[in-house]
Amino acid sequence: MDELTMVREVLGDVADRVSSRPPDRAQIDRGLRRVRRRRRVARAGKGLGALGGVAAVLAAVQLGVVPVPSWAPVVPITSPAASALANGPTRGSLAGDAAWLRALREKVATFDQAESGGERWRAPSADRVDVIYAGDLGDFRVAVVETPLRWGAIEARAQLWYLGEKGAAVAAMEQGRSDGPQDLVSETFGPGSVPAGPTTRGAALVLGPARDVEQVGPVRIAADGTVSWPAAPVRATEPGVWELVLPAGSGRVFLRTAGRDVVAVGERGWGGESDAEQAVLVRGATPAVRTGSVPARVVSSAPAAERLAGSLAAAQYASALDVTTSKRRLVWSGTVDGTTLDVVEVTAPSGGRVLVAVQDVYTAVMQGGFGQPVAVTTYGAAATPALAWVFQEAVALADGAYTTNGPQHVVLVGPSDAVAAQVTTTDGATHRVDLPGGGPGVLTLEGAQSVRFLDGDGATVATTKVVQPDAAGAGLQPPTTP
Amino acid sequence: MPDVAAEVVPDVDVEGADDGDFHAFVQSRWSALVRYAYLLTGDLGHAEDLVQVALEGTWRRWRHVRAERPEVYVRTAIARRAVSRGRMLRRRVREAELTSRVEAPAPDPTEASAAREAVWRELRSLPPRMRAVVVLRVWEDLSEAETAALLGCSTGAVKSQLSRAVDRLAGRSALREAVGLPGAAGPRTPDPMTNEER
Repeated sequence: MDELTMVREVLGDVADRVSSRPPDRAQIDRGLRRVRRRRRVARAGKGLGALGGVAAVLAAVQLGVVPVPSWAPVVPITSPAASALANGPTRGSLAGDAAWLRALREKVATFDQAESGGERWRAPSADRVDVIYAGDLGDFRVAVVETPLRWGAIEARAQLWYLGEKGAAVAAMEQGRSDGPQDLVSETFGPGSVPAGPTTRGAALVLGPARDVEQVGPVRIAADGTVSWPAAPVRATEPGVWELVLPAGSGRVFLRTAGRDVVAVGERGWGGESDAEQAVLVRGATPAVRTGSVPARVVSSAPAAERLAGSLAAAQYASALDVTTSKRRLVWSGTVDGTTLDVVEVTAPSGGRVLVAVQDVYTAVMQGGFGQPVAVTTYGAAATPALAWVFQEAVALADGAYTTNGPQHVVLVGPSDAVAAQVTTTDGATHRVDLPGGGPGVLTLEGAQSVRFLDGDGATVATTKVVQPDAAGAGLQPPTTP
Repeated sequence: MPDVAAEVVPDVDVEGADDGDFHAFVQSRWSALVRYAYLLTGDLGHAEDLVQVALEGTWRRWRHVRAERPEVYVRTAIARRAVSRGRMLRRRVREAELTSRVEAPAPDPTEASAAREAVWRELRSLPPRMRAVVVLRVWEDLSEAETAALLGCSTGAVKSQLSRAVDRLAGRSALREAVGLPGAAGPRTPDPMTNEER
């Protein structure tokens, strides 16, 4: 046997040992929704990726804002025609600062980016750079330009975003996101968007011919657990320019125009972008696990620190609450059919609570990482939290394909004094399941709708609706109380 | 072969793209693509990441790609990203895998089994582009021209990379032992996950 034959055999052996389960249809759909949202949802991690913030990018992937790591630069080639934005005046607070704008154009003219396949795109000259927007926005300085880019004889146009700290000199502005010419653009900025020091205020910018822009949120979770998402119009700072700066401690906010979400602001709401923020995220989240005093709870094991942080970040994001003004607690951690599930309680400043189930997702297309929130419900400060959700496994078919039409497991996490649960299905039938040690429990059942948790005397200690898999989408957040 | 320079082609409007074909494609080809990416990267987590990213790019251009050969497109994207990402990973902190989903080889106390494992370790230690050439030429059985087109380099580069890879592997005792040649004490095999420049 020669060397290459041996290498071929070794590669074959190794390939045969690799096991990776295909994503099911729901997981793919979630990924596709994220791709579709990319243009209208802020790509906070884009700039972060360009700045080398690997951790931030990973976190943003998990967050769902950035569906893919952004380390691969892309120069989009589109029509050579300029956008309507480029044909208009320079907007923003620096519109009158001729020296700064000139320096910016000269910086843009140094654009020189190599792409896979050997393309090398360069900006031809400062004279051909249109500055669409330049200004200070909260703790940031933002510039949006449009310029031709050339690769050999090919010329295309691109919109480039530059970001720095408030008041930054042109030299300190970092180029981040790049797109083809668009007439309506939006971007969001959060902690970690600039390399030097975190900011506590999220910000967003919308440029274009939108008729109106509406702010939705931050979410209000009252002490009794009721949820509202207040909406209010955002006033244009000048024609075609909407600037939003959130106060410190705000949770997640959406900006909408024409009835569609265009950006999600307030990334502070989930945290976890830096070691310091991760420390805030994890602090106090697992007192019971650490002391081992978890009565009537099946805590399978204390998750590894990274996994715990991932679950907490996912739950924090799903809660839409700010990380610094809310508290987190790992309620339960366990495994169902080999998939690790965590339940995290996030407490709002009012005392109202958000209960979030977080499921490990290893192979979901375009989601990456672990810690996907799959169910959310809210409770009042005085209520007994409980959560039930449907967990569905993918089932292998004979031809190697997979389907999600497998058994539906209902995961039940009830109060610690519950000894049993009574599950009601769509046909009105009830099914009882014992919850050793007070829970959690898992029941294989189709059509589960609601759950009643019972104590040793048969009295009801908590009730909850069963969160269905359809609700486990990319935009998981506390639902508005009817 | 689809033009993977389509990385710079504008995204299609995916709002109305057909999901059904894409679902079927992902579910039927996922495992094979991950195996392929694993051979290129030697790390399952990174392999799955690469496949995810490549599939996302494929989806964005699905209308164009599906009529041709989507798997070729995806495999090209995976190989190119594996090469470029390999460079980046040298600067990254190693990610610990929580649960290994790559089976250990079946218990086999023979020297042949140990030698094969050693060969795999040495393959993993090759620089990303060199490893990609080995995988594409030897495992995928592509021609020099196909390999060059897929990686976006010249056929001369493919030839020299494969030659250097074989020389490098043949210089290690593991491969020599595996093919029955007298053992040779080769240079130290660098840890593939360190930041060591090669």
